[in-house]
Amino acid sequence: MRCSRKRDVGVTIILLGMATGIAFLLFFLMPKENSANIAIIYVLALILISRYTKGVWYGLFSALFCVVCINYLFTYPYFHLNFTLTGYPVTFLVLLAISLLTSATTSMLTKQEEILKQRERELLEAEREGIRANLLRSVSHDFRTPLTGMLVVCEAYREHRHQYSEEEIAQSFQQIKEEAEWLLRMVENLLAITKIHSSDQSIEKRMEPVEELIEEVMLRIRKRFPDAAIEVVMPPTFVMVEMEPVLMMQVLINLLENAIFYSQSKLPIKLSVRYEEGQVVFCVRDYGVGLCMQEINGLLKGKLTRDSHQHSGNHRKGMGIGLSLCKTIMEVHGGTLQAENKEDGAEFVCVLPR
Amino acid sequence: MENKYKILVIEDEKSILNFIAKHLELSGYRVLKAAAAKDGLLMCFSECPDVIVLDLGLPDMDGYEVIQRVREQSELPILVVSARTTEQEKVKMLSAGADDYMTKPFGTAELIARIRNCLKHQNRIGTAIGSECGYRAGNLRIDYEKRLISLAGEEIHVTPVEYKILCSLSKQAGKVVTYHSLLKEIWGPYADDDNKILRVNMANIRRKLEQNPGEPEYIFTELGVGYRMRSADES
Repeated sequence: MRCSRKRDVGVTIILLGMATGIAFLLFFLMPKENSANIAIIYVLALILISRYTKGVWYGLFSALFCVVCINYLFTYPYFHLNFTLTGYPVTFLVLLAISLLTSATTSMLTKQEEILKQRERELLEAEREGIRANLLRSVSHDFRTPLTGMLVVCEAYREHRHQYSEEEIAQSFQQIKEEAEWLLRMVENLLAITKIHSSDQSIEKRMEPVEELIEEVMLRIRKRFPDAAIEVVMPPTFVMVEMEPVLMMQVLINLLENAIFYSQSKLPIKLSVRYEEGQVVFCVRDYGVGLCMQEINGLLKGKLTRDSHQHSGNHRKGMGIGLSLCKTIMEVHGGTLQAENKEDGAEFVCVLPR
Repeated sequence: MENKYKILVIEDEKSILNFIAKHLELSGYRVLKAAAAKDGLLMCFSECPDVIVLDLGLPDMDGYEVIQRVREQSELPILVVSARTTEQEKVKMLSAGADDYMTKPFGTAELIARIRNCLKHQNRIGTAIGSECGYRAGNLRIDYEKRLISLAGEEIHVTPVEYKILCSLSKQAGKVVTYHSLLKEIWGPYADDDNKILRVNMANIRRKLEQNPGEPEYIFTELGVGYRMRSADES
């Protein structure tokens, strides 16, 4: 507040000084047609002052100053105040009116601007809140499904223990294991979300070699899916890129997992890395059934709509969160994530700037 | 079969403690169970186990402190098991003296493998002779005396710095070595904490040793933490 007052005083003094200076120049260069021009110069200064200062007082003071100045310096008798000249009250009143009008308009504009900004902030917050609520909703739903599955299996086993054959028991355990593993992957995704600061969507980046990232991704994928056929193609150059490695790992793991689970790929899934001018490109390519583009594009735009999950036949619960998280992670890295259908499968392309 | 390895498991979650204990017993180990850090430390010093499996989230003491207390007295291997997964956390535990860590949840096969790893590592320190001669894993041989590295019988040429890194890692094979401790060991205590030089050297080593740098056989990355070399084959 204090600072802005100082600034306003400064603006007023500088503009008035400049106006007086220019008026003097005009007065001495073109003495014949001075008075009209000088008045206009002061009017301009007045408008500017009213526009760039807060409150009406600077404008009022300036109007008064202008009238006195013109009277004292630029009208005959010079260096004397003489308000008896005809038309003086009119000049003064007009200048006053200009200053008041401009100030009023400006302050109204500023106020409106503030209201607009406030409204925008509220909207943004509501949107963020909406996303969070949406996320929580779909997470809870996605958690409930496998948990219910596990509970049902346990319940059934407890009640009909004696009718279970060895094979059925093994099957039940396998089912519980699969559901639990799925839950685990979900939790990992959620943990990854917490690494992105919610306030400004920033992350802590550091330099990591791309090859070590790929190695770690493959290590984890191999551990989870020992039988999955995956081919890794990467150039032999050593490149380090700024990234949050855990999040980048999550992106590639999610994409590979999706390909393993849902694509029904006929050939090995291909994870390839390309180094291009100013960026690193990661591709996950499968040779399977392809994507439902409408749905994928919706997910990539960050729309987590429950409906789209339910009526799609070829993918299971929860893919939405994984994919939109990938998108978010790439964006906070300043990169992009795109999906595309090829003739014989689908391709996800992540671009990371270097 | 009286000289079974003794393993102390410190874990406050009853079900996990029992589960781990059961599994280790089935695999032929003797298991000591402790549900709190105090009991664990007492047992550690009275029973002299061969390996400690330590959960970090204990109610009565921070895992970090437990590691320090154990390290004051002995060099026995500590395998940290934790649900905490940040890199800083891992680095902190490793530099406090833990030998290895596992993130919950883990498979039993992995647990047994890591415990074996720890035991091997400790045996090598104990006998010392084995490690003095060289390191041997798969096709890779390191001869410390002749300063020779060979892969499937063929000599591999490495720079002096690369050799130092390999030596350091192989002498601690099976253990995660943090960037910081490697930097300090190879480039001295005043080395820059910027680990790019180490990463570049490491990449070069792997180009020479690994068939497929994306899926390594001998040197594994613990992203954001450090490196781990495959433990030596038993002769």
